[in-house]
Amino acid sequence: MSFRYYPMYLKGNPQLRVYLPNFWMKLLKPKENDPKNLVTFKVPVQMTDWDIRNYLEKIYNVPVVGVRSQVKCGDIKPAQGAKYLIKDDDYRLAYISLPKDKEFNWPNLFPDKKIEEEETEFKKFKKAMEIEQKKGKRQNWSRHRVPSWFGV
Amino acid sequence: MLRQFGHPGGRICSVFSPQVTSVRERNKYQGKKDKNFDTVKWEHQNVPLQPHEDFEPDEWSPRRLTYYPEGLWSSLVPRPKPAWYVDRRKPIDIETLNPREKEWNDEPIYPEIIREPKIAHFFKTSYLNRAKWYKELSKIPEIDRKNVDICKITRLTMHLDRPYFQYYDGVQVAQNITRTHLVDGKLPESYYHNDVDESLVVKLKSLLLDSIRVNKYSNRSKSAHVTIGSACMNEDWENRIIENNLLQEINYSVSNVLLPSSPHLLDLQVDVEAFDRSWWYAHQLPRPEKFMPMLWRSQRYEKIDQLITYGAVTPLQIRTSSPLPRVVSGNDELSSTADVPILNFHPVTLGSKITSRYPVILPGFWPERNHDLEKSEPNDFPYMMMFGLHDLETRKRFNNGQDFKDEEDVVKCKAMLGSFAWLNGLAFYHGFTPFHEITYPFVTQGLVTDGQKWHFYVYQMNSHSFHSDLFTGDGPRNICWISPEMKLYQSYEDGQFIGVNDDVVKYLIKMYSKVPCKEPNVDYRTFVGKDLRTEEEINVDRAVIGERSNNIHDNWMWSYKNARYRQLYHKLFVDNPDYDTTMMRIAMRPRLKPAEDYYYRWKY
Repeated sequence: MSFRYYPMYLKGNPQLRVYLPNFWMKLLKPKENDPKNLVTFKVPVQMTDWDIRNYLEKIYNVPVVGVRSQVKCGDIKPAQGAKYLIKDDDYRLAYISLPKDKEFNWPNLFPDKKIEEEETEFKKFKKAMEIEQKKGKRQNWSRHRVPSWFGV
Repeated sequence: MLRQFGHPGGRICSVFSPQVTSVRERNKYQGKKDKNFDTVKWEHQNVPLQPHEDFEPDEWSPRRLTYYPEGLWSSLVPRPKPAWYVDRRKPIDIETLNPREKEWNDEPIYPEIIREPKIAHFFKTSYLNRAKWYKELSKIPEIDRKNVDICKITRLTMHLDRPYFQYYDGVQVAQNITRTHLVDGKLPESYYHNDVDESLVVKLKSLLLDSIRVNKYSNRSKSAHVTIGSACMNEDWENRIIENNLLQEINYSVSNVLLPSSPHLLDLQVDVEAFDRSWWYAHQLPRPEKFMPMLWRSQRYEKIDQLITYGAVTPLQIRTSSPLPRVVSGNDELSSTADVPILNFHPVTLGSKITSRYPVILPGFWPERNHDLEKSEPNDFPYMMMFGLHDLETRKRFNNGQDFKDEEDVVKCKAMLGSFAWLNGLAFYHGFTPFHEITYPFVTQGLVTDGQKWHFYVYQMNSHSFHSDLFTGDGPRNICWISPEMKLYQSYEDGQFIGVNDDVVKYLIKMYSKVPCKEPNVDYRTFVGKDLRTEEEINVDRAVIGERSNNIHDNWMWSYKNARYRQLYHKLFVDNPDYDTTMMRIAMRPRLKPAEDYYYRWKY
């Protein structure tokens, strides 16, 4: 639940410089054939359409035309290794439509090039680590057959 | 808990509560039936006793009396079994081949011609059967009968309860499902108003402005019409009444002024607040994820023909006895190769709803039964439609107070959806169901106004059957010409209209001076006529059309508490308070010999 007002100041409290809502919105990947100006979010159930609109307009400067939202039932599934059912929390799906001339394209955060770079980096790091580990395992000939507390 | 106002399906706590059973409790009674074997003898369900010795296999034997009233069937009640079920274990001699003597004959004997099985539902059958069904449907000459035969069952439809979409960006959807090409910002050339008489303009202008002043700006207009009701009526209802009055007065004053010069206006029939109901198929829309009949889900169609139903009030619609002349011919480029937007998504993704409804067609008035076309002509050709703009406020309220600022889109949707639905209904009255393509175009003109802002449009319906059995995807397009927004006056100050625009009045005159006329050598009612078939022929045709089962209705029928057997329910359970404890157990009692039956009656 978001505080819709600035929290009351009492003497001795730290003074808040910035007011942030304690709502969150999770951007969902659009389906293949969805229209380009439709964006989907997963939001808490308590958020109203106007909360969603203000959140996007005031904080992120998104040009919002219309907001629709639906409350969805959380997943009901058998508990692992037990014979009863458990249910996830309910959530709200918000469908936001942008103006007709605007498009939303899902950002490709992990392009192939980046993945390759990271993999090569990881391999290099792993190799270096292996060398380090081997160094530790290697016998120190200058302290041959000396107990380990000798160097303390 | 915070809850959004007017949110239709929104709920914060889910109703779903799974019943958790413990395994131990469930297994307690399993496999213990043998314990009670002596007391309860479970014979075979209702094996009929053979009443006499020469009992033939095809004969029905009498069933035990069960004390169960008629109409209260359930799965627990023993049903009569056919005789073959009783002695099915007896061996049968089957002659696989004919004997030699029978194999050859002097006269040829052909196998009996068996008619195809009854059509249960035109979607669940093959294409051949469906085609047969369409053909048989066209044989029914009475439109009432045809309507009833089609709309017996409910179908999953995308229902439109107003001539526009609640959500943003609905124009492309409206264009696609009606297959309309939109000519935006332009009317056809025949509506250019160079030759309008100026004296008529002056006369009509003053009348129009007067009626606008009275309806829109006088004190009378606000909550003075209905003194008692206005207290509990909301703003939209008030505006609706005001706007309907305004539209009627516009029609009245225009026809008054133009009558001396154009006598065809005498023939006009006006429907006020007509409720149009209509249905058609949208051609090959992408399959929605959630709402799908089981059949489609199992077949895994990528694209489906979505049934669309429409039921909305048109404030004013005018019809005549003969059609308006077609604007462009069928060979014209505009009607053959104009572009219609393709939808990559089902309109459900934009928020429209899918429900199950009866597909009914009624274009705002009832058809005349057994109309004799030789004596007179019914007024069932389109002439004019009028829409208001007050429902923009309603739309805003439905969207939780959000204003999309897309008034022009709403107007376009009204022009396309409203006129297509109405023309489709009128085509049905001329004998062309959505399974039978029209042979000539239907043309209507229309306007959308709130007094100050005016939009004029012309709609020509070239085709209306988009089911993929009949339509390959490339055919004649429907065309909608719509003018840009025009203001009759810029503002209203101190009882004076400022900046009056004469063009609006000229367009109005031009529209009303269109003379409807019939084309030679066109049969306007090919499938309509008097029903001259005999009863036998009707029965034969009806067998092909089939009695289709209605799933919803079936479920209703079998539940005690619903309307069908309401009286019976009352007679049983309310009049006999111990009916539940005595009679309802009869189906579960053990099978008994007739003598025992009497003995145990006190118990069961």
